[in-house]
Amino acid sequence: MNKSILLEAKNISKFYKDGQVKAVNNLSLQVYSGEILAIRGPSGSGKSTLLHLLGGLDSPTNGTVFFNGKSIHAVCRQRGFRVKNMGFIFQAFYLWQNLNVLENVMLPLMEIPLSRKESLLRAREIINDVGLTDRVKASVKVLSMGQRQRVAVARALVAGPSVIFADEPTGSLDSRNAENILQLLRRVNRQHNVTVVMVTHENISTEYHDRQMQVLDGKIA
Amino acid sequence: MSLLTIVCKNLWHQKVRSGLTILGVGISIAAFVSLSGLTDNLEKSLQSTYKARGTDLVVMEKATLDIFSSTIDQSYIESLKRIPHVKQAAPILFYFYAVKFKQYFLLYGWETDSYHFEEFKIVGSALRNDYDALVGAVAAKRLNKFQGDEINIRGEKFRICGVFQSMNMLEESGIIVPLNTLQRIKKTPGKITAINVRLDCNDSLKMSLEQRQAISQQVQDKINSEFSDLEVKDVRDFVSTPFAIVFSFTWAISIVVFIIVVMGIINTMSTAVLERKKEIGILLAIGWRKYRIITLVLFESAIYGLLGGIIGVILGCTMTRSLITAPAVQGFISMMPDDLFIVKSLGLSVLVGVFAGVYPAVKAVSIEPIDVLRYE
Repeated sequence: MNKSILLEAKNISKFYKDGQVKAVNNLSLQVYSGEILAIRGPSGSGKSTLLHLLGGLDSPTNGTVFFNGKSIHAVCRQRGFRVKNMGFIFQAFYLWQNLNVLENVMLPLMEIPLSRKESLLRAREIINDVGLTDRVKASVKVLSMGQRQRVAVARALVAGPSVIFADEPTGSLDSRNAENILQLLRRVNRQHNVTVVMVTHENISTEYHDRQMQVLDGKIA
Repeated sequence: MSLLTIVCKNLWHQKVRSGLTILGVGISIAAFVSLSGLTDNLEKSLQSTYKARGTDLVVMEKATLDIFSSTIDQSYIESLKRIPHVKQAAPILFYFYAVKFKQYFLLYGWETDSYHFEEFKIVGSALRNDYDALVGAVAAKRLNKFQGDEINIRGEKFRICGVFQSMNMLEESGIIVPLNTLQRIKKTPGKITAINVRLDCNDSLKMSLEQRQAISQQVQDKINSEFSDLEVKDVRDFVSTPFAIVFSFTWAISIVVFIIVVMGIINTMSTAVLERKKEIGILLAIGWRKYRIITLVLFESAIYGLLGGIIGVILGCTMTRSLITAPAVQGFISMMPDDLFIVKSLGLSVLVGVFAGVYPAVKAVSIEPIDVLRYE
């Protein structure tokens, strides 16, 4: 595994209600390029907040997050940076209900200067990768939960990001589908050499992550 | 995939709401098309008549709301004719008159040798006797009268000496009688509505437009300074004056119509943005620029405007078609809205749609992805 640091959090904190709630408290961590990092913790431990901070979706009260050595908030302001470098997967999928599988997967590509043909080709390729070839034109409303999460994985992957942030990706799935999604994440991690930072409250088999850390009360336990 | 695909799918997803909004916009635009289209035509029709006839200036009573309220002394004619560059001055007297129950006609009193008759095509003879009447082709059809028939105006019997065709339908829907006869039966001897003035500068082809305008202005200034109770207008500014009240009402109704359109689209789009708050937040999270979100919302609003506009134009033209055949107004309204007016209406409808989308678009980009995700 390549051991170069992709993401680094240095003494980050996130406080709410004038510091009464310390969701993340003076936490430091490093994410290595190409690894799957599982961040575990019970509800309310601050793991999702940590993920949002690492993904540049939220700003820390104190401390800094670096992406390839640069402040994440500075690089996220660059046009097209987020769409080209980061993918997001959520527990509730957050797919555009009016659109079909292909259209949902193509959404990030609208921010990238690609021809329609190239966009279609790339989206179809990723849809094949996640095993939804036969559902490409299906409305996401008719898909099973597992299939919806596969669409979300394809959407996160389609622009070729270097890191995917997955917030409870198996939280809405039954055990069989959860297993399938974890296998899929491991496969795309290896096939596309994409780093995965995954937050979960469940125990995950060691074959689906390279490193695991436990978060409790906003700190690494 | 394009933004249009997303917009169309969004509209299709909420069929009833989209349909009702489009229908609401359509009905409002239809009201605009039918009202403004008619006044637009009326204005163009009047303008073309005055231009073709060679009338340069119209003199009427000062500070009257519209030409129908104007009454001036006929004696001004001679004074006006003495002003340099005034070639001809023709008095006109007119008002609306119901020859039959609820069938109104414009009744004109013209001098029998008025230059107004120059472009007329008359079947029959010109006005020769005091109780001769020239009936416009449209009026003749409505009254079912022919040359040689009699017509009763304010209790007096007139003989139809001819049926005429002129350059506009408003005139053709009227009846022309000798000026002095109309003054007598109206009991307003020596009084007229206005004076149409021809200038001599238009006869010279060598004269530039600027020179003609300078002469016209010179004559207008002279009339304004010498006759304190008269108002003179260039025909280019005058055309909306005869129907000032109608045009004012049309504008007022149009403004109300567009406020309704804007409110309708704002309501629909704000609801849509609120419903899609999570999706919009996620689009921002995955890297969509705010510019693209704004474009998406404005595009959707514009589509509401466009589709509503198309329905509105179809409905408006249908309403106009029904209106021009209604007995009360038959003859006064001649044409359907022209192509340019229809294109302008559609453009305006789209613009109003875009304008109405601004507030929902601002609301959409004010969504912070983290706020959506935090309460997942």
